[in-house]
Amino acid sequence: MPSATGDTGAEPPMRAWKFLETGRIAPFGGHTWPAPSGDAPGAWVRFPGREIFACRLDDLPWWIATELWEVEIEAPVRALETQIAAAAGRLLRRIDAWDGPALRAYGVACAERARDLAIQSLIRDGRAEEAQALGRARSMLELSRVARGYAGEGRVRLSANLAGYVAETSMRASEGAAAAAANIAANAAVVALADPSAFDRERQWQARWISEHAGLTAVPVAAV
Amino acid sequence: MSAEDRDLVARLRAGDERTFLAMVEKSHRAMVRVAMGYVASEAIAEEVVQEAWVGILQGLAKFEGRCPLRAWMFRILVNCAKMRGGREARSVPFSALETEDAEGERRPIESFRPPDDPRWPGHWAQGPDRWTDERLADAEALVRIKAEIERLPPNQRQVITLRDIEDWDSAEVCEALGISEANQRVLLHRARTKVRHALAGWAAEGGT
Amino acid sequence: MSAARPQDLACRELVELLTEFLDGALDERTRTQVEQHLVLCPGCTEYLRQFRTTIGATRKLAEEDLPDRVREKLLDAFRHWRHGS
Repeated sequence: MPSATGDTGAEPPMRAWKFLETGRIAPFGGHTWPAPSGDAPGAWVRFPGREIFACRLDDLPWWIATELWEVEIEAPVRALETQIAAAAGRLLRRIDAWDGPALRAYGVACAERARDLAIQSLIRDGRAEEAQALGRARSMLELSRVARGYAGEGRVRLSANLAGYVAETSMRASEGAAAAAANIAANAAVVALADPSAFDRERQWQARWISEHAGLTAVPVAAV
Repeated sequence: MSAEDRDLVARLRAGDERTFLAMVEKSHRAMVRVAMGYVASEAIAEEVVQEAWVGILQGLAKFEGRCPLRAWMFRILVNCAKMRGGREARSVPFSALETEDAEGERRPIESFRPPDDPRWPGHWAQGPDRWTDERLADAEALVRIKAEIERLPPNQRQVITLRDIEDWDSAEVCEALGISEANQRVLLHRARTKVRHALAGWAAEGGT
Repeated sequence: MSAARPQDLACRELVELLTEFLDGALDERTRTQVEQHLVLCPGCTEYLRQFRTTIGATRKLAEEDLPDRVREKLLDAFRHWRHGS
């Protein structure tokens, strides 16, 4: 397959992922990415003096949006902390498995992780009844309500603060604000495990969730 | 010099009244607002604008086009206004209903969580209410915006007028007013923040 | 509510950066922080939307409002200059 520069076989095309808003709209630039047609990739997106951005697998949780696309990117490529910057990019294919229900399910899965940490913490604190009540909640909304009952004003008790996070992440999950839910859940992990590095580990779990549910694992990504 | 500027200068020098009046009309409100940044009243600002036009016409022969024509025009305006403002003491009454912070600045109050919040210090206590499209489409919205702009401190009013009403770019505004980019942005931001807040009172569902 | 890690922006800080953000005047690191925060904060996303709407509405105020007496005076000044030069 010809590379971006037109040479055949000189370099394999560099691939990555990109989240866009509905209609292939760049979330911050506002411009529309050209769609692929049939097997042909979309036209290259290139701005003089500006880069385009894309995700490695681990970057995905930071940039959640309604559409997920596989993209090809063009050198030079810079690796940043939570994304990669490239001179140009073009859309290859839409990840159809990342749809409305998937986005929603993602938020719920993240909130459930926080719930489970809270349950463990409550059990360790000898609060088995409250732990069970959290586990029995049948919807995100109900979970939020139950957790809120435990949150209170306490700044000292770990479980109380954790319960607050659980109430907040499940409320966001119930609203469909999945990225907000995921971020709150990552913060909850830090508090539950009393470990700042738990945040990044939670993000990595979230990235794997997205990758598995959207079927991304089979595709090689730019090794940047 | 841009082709457009070259054309305007040529027409003015040729004595083209229509072109002159069109330019006057287009920039009149902006010129008055900018002048008001330096003088005590709108009446005096109107006089300054007229003086500035004389200066602009007399200076046309020397205009080299190293900067855009309108930036050059407004520079002359600012110089006239400053000279005039220096001669007369400026006293702008503050409304007793406004609160000022340490810098003498009216600040809208948004609800953020306090610094000692256990989970989200500095985050929205309650996010901003959503705006309804119908309220925004109402002509009253523009009345509100205009009223709030008139209430701004003069230097903020100048910048928001040139940037957001007249759609000048950042560099031109700095050139015309003789201020730095950073300063211009601070003034613009404060102005926009107040205007958004004023509009929010109207545009939020159930706002008055 | 969004992030509570010390290195992440609080909403109160973010709203102060919006004019620079829209002008493209933020350094890369700060701009990235703003963008990341917007992804996960519905409150700030709405605020930015309102900020942009405000700017768009303000643009409609561009008006031509020239009192007749002012027009006459300026036209006089123009004619005077024209004949003098």
